[in-house]
Amino acid sequence: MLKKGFQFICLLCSTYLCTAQQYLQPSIVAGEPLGVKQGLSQGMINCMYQDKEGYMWICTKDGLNRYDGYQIKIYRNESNDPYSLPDNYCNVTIEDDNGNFWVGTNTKGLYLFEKKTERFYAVPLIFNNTETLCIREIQCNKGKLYLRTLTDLLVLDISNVNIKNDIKTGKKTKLLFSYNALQQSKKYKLDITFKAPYISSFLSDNSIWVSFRDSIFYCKPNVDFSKWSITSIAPTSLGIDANIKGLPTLSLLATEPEIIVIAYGNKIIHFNTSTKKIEFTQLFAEAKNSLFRNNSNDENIYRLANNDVSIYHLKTKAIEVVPIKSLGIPERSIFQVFTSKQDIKWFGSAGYGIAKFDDRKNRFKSYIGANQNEIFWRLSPDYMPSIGTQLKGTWAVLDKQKTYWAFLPNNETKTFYYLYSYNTLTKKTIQHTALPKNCTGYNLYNDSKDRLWIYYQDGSYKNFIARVDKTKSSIEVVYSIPESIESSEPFVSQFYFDDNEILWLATINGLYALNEKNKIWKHWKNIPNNNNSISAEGVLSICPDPIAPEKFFWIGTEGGGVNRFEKINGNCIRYTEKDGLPNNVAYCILSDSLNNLWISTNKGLSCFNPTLKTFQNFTDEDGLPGNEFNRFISRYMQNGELMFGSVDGFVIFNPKEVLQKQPAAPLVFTGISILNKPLNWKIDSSNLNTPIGYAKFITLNPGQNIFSISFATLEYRSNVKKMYKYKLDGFDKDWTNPSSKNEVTYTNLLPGIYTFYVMGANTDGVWNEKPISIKIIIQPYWYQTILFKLLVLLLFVLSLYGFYRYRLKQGLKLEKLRNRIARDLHDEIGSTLSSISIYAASANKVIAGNEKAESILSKINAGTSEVMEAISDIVWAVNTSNDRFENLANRMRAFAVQSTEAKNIELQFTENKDIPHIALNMEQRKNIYLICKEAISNALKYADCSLLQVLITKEQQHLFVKIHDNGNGFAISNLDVVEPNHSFGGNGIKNMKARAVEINASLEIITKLSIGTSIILSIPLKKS
Amino acid sequence: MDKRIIIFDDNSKRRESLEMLIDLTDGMTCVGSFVDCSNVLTDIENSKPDLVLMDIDMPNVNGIEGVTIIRKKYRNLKILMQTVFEDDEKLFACIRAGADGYILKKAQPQELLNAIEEALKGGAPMTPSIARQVLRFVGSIENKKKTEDFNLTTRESEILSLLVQGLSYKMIADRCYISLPTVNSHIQKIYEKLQVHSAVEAVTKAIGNKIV
Repeated sequence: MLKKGFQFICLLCSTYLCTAQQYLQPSIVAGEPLGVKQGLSQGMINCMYQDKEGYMWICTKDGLNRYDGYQIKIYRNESNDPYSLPDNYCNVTIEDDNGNFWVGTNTKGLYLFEKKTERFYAVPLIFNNTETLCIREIQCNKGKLYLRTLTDLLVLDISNVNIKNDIKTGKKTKLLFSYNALQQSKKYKLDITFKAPYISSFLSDNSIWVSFRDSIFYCKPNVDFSKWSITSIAPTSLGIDANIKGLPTLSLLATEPEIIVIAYGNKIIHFNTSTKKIEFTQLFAEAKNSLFRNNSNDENIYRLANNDVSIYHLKTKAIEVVPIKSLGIPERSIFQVFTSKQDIKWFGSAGYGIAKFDDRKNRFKSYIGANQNEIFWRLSPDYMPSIGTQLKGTWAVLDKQKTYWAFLPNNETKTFYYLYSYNTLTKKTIQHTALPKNCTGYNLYNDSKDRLWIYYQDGSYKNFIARVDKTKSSIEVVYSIPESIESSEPFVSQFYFDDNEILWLATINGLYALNEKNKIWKHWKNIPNNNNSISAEGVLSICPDPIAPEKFFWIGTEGGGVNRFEKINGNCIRYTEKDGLPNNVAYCILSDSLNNLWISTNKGLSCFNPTLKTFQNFTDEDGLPGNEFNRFISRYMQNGELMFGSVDGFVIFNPKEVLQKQPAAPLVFTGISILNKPLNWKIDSSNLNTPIGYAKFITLNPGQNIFSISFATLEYRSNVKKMYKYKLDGFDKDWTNPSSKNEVTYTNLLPGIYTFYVMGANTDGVWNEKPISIKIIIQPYWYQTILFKLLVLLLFVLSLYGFYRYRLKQGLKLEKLRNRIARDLHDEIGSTLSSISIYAASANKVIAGNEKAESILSKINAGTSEVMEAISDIVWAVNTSNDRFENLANRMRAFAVQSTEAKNIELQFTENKDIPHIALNMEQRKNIYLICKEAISNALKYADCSLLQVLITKEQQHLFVKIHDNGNGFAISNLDVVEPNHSFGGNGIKNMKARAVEINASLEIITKLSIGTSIILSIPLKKS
Repeated sequence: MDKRIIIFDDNSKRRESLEMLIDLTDGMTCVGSFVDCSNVLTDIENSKPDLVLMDIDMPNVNGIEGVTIIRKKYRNLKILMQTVFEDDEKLFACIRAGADGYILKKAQPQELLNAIEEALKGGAPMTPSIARQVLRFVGSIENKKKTEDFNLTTRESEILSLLVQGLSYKMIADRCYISLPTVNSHIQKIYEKLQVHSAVEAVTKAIGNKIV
């Protein structure tokens, strides 16, 4: 008995000692607060829930909040809006499989929220003449709603409820279960007088467990939920210890329905209901006042203790502890938990808002502390074999014999450096050779042949590398580096011994290569203006290329980014910030099993894929201890993880884990501002008639020429890392460069219809497949509309036309006037002239018989006749209504007919049909007519012909008038004889020719004695 | 018995000279001359003429209106229009108003006397040039009418088509190897058949009804 007790005490002590020797744990990933300061309506968190679209809903005592990662929209009760949230004190929200969004309030009962109209519709719960108004908890399972109200537990059938089709569907709920109705024992009815604590559990097999202090009731429905059975069970028969503090919470594992998981006190048990045995027990650390919670959407049980939350993963049976102290949330105030997509944990407190923890930040295990050397060696031996106490505190090199090598200062002088080794297997520390006098040792390197190299500097800054004989503890060979530079930093940053047995040195003066066999040094430096040379002066790190190490290796430079160095010719391909590197100072480079290169810089870590030439960058936002890393400090851990050292501490991670990408998260429009004022769709319905997240188009009225659209990727991680690119179709030519800005402003767009597209990438850089879009309709001012512009154009055209017509009219008026004057004149003159003729004729009649008098009178007659004819011609020519060729032809024919008829000469007057469409000007008309008149007169007078032919044709662009008689003809020489005037204004052939010239026409006279005469007039016509 | 002729013309010299000429011509006498048609009906009633020589362009009431007024009362009174101009409009207006003929002032006095005699005989004297113009003018607007059957003889159609071509009565006579009076009588018959009062109208109707 005593022995047993002693053993027991030893066990206790050893466990205590074990737990006391804590290995270094990674720093706790800080959570982020989401409280009133960040815009939450209130700090009392009743419920947190993520809907299917991705929004986070938070129920508080003072309103329902919707969070999109950037901003919070608060729904509160508005007295004059019957569809607003009825009670600001909302307890729970949940979305069912039909997409209905249920809201449980504290005093107004159950409501349905329609997202597209932002309206709350009541779902009355009136059973047995009582109305249920206080909803505390809702669970949802396959068309059934499980409600825990103030005084009862209810199950409703909501499979017919679909708010999309019918907003009155709230009435379509059917009550399937009421606990109080089922519970016969008055002691355990949950009415208003019931004050004792109880816990209800709704399990995924549709059973309901109600745990009281001394009894647990199990309610189970039949297949169609028409009947329920209620059984009373003693807690101990479920494996629960007797007389526990607190009440048990029950869950079910979906995979093993026989097993009930019961959480109470400080433990969780898996109880098999068939075998009635406890299959598994998990203990938690002692904690006062802890309570268990579970969510229906994940298979976790959360234990909320004073200062931390422990998460029990049902599947793996592992516990994860999340300390919450760092966030300033007081003890014992967390009482709600929710895990959203992508494994982000939300902890709600009673009065202090929410603490949000991103599990993914744990991928980077950060160890924060100023003295990295020291704390590194407190890691668990999984990472590195434990180092002896003497070498602790220096960056020791581990060789293939599992021995650490390091320089240590001479204790007295602190300047002399000794080489020490510590064998992790024998645990022996050995002091080896000292360096030459006044020398300081810096870096060590164990090459692939397991030889140890050291670098040291003498008092005059000369640099040496030496190889150490490990067994003899002495320096085998020393090489002097050709150059040296005065600098506070060690000359050599890193060694690399390649498979060709060349020793490469990364130094602050470029790259050196030593061929031991022939003792030849080669040196590569930065050559200004040569882009094939090393990109900067100082080279800080070397890493062989993961794919082709025999050809290339990669160097990190001080300010020139990263280069791929080709060993044969020294050609460098440079990669800098322009290509995606976060910062051009590349301290250390390590490669991983996926052939990526990990580079530490002043702005975080970068993972470079040499094949795709892409960079994926990580900062403190992703869980790194800080962004400014240190030179020389990087290691390959023996478990495959990588380590980099920074100013704030060091980080260890598994590259595969870190590079896992989460799928793209949904992207939504979150707001619009017009003229820098946020738009409320309920007030400004002329612009938007539905919430922006569901709108297909926005209408901007004239004058609203500045607007901004904001959008968000619904991923609750670092907003800085979420990238967006957008394009306004109709304005932007192409997509913008990705940036993390989630708001765009456009000003002074021209009226029209545009479509705005935006694409988002999550914090891992995974872009959505398709963009989201919204149409933007910009209404024009009345004076910008097309109608107006057309009107103006029309008016302009009309005014031009009107002006033209006016001018025309004026011209016409003038003409008419001119014509009238001509006519009046003609009339007067003509009448008077004709009277002379008539008088002469009268006189003839009176003095009939007097030959002389007759001849005189006939001359008078002839004269007046000619005058009247001439005047008639003039007036005709001047009248512009005669400018069609038709008129000319008519007049010519009239003349010809008249003349030939009197003399009994046959007349053939022909004209082509298409001629009348020619327009002639006044001069052409007058001259053509007079020429023809002259020609016809001549023919009639002198030719003595029997046939007169007049032919008018049009060929190409010429008008031809041919006048032919079959008379005597005449000799050309007679043309020069000046004939006395026989027609007013004509002077024989000369006149005809002159007239032809005036109108650019040509006149041809063909005459043959005794055959006839032809006169051919050809007039060039203007091209129509 | 001398035929009674009255003159309407606003030019005093022409009026007086015509008066003299007519009086000097056998078979005619001038029984009145007036400045315009203001009192045309009274003037006609008082003078009881057989033929009216009517100027077109007169002040107050012009010749066209005068013809219209006269025709309302005197359907058979011969009216000859006189003018200096060969205008389409005025011409057409006179024809429609019902004038029997049309003569240019610049015509020789003998032609004028011939025309008066022709008109008195029942012909429809008209200078060929004017006839052509009328045809042309009318033809261009009337060619959309439907044809009605007018039962013209071959000869009558032939004469009508020659009229359309602008041949004078004399030329028609020559062409058809008939005498001038025959032409006249053919034309009279054509008139009756076509229910027209003048050659021009006959021609117009012929073209309009697409008989020729």
